[in-house]
Amino acid sequence: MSVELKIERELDGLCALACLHLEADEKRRMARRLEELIKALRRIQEVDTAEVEPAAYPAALPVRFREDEVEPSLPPEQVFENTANRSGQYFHVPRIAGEEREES
Amino acid sequence: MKLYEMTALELSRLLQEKEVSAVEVARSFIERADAVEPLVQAYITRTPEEALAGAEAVDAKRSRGEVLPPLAGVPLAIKDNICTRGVRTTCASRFLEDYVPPGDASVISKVRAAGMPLLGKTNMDEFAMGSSTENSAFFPTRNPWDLSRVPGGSSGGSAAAVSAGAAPLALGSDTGGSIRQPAAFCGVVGLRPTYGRVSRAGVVALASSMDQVGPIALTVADAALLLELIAGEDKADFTTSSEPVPSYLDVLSQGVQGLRVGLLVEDGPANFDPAVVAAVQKAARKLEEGGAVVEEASLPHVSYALEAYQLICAAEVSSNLGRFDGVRYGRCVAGENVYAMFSRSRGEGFGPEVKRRLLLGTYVLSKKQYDAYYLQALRVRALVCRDYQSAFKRFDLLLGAVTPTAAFKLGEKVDDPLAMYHADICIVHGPLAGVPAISVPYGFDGDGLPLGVQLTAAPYREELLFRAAHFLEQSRGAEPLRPQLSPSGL
Repeated sequence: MSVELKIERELDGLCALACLHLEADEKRRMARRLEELIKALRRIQEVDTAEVEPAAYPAALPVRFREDEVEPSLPPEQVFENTANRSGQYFHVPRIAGEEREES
Repeated sequence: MKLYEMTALELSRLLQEKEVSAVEVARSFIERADAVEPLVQAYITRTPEEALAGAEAVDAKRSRGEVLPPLAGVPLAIKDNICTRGVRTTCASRFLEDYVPPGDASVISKVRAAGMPLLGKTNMDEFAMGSSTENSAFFPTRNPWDLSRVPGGSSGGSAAAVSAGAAPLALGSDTGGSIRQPAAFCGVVGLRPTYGRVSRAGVVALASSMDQVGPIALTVADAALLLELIAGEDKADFTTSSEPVPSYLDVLSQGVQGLRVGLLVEDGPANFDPAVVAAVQKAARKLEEGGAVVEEASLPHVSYALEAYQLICAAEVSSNLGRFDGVRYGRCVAGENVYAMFSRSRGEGFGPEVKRRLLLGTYVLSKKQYDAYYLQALRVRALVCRDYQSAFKRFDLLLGAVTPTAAFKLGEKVDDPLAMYHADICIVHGPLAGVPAISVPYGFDGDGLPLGVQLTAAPYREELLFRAAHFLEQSRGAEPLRPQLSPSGL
């Protein structure tokens, strides 16, 4: 099966995982672009890396500990400055419990 | 000479000798920006009142006889992905169009404490994803050398502001070349510091294992001054190093005698503009004349670096962008349930390139593709790191191109992501290995557009970059390059 067909079929699932809503025409364009990209990026599989450990960072990061120090938090008024979803001292969101995840 | 035509170092001296006031300096850049912004569009948000208030505070301190840091009173432009308390920080995204951070990034705390008046927030590709600043959700920035061309990206607004005289200095961020490429396109100096040299705290993350903040400046000395100010350990970013920050300005004039320079053979393929290849070769000859020993060098795995970079960047993007759900800040679109709300907020708030990388990252991190793409990219990254380690056993510096061509036309690559990614071929491998690199203007192409050459050093050897780049700058003629800014290019 070609990569092209696979991506188009997988796109709804990827959008659900990425929490990203795309309109229908956007989906068609996106599938085509992703196909091109993935096809080009597949070249990386030519490299023989059998004996190579993956490097998530450019250099090993030192493990550094520090004392726990109590520092002031942001005042609630500042915390809520950038949202319209304030409800008293809470952020208001649609009901979560009991909802099924949207798959498309 | 007008104040806005001066370098940061010249302004610093005039300010310290009290020949000009910080308010006069700030006003000069504000007026220059008023004049050129309709053409260049380097800024998303300008803050003239804040700049003047900052300048007044510096003048008041100086008149009381306080000894101030060298850059006190020298204004600064800031890329719009670096958080500024009370000034909106949009990342050039509709999603964050109205976001006003409650605090400063660590680098902003440093520049404020040093008395640098803040001129505003500069345009960029959305969330720093791009190489032309055309991916800004608001408007493209134009190259001051030719208004029909891109300034590069993603820090295109910062580079264009400095080039056009709308700021003497700017901060950019470089994940895969986003400081060096726009610097080359706009004829200014851009430095990507070692990973860990400058704090990332308060900088909106693109790819956390590669992001670095760095200076964009008219001259190497100006870049050195600004790096010295912003570098150093920060408890808010555990990846910063405790390695001491040297006085970079002190070493500038030490020349290149005895330095071993590797000329990268990978930067001369057939699809490079011959003018770029010629500029690199000329720089190599100049370094030899200055006493450096120049030999060919190779990084065998960099031919796969573009793929490794794109895969790792996309994977980290898909993770980092998870925070943008529209609940606590950012665009929020109502939905019948919480997932619909998240998905629609992101669908409306993100532009096409952001969506593409988000989905690509989600794909390469998915269970079936993880080994073949993401893990393989991390293994290739390890090989690129080894290549650099081997090279720096033989050489102090590596010399090569920044970009395959000078600045391209607006609209030329915007619909072709693969062509756009290819424009970064010389600059993505350094960030994979965390090494510092500088882009310094050196020559012009056949259309009179500026070209840059790139020098790369081993981690925490920025002073070698400054020495060699300063030498090249002096050999070119000490005056900074200035575009003849006019609307004729439109």
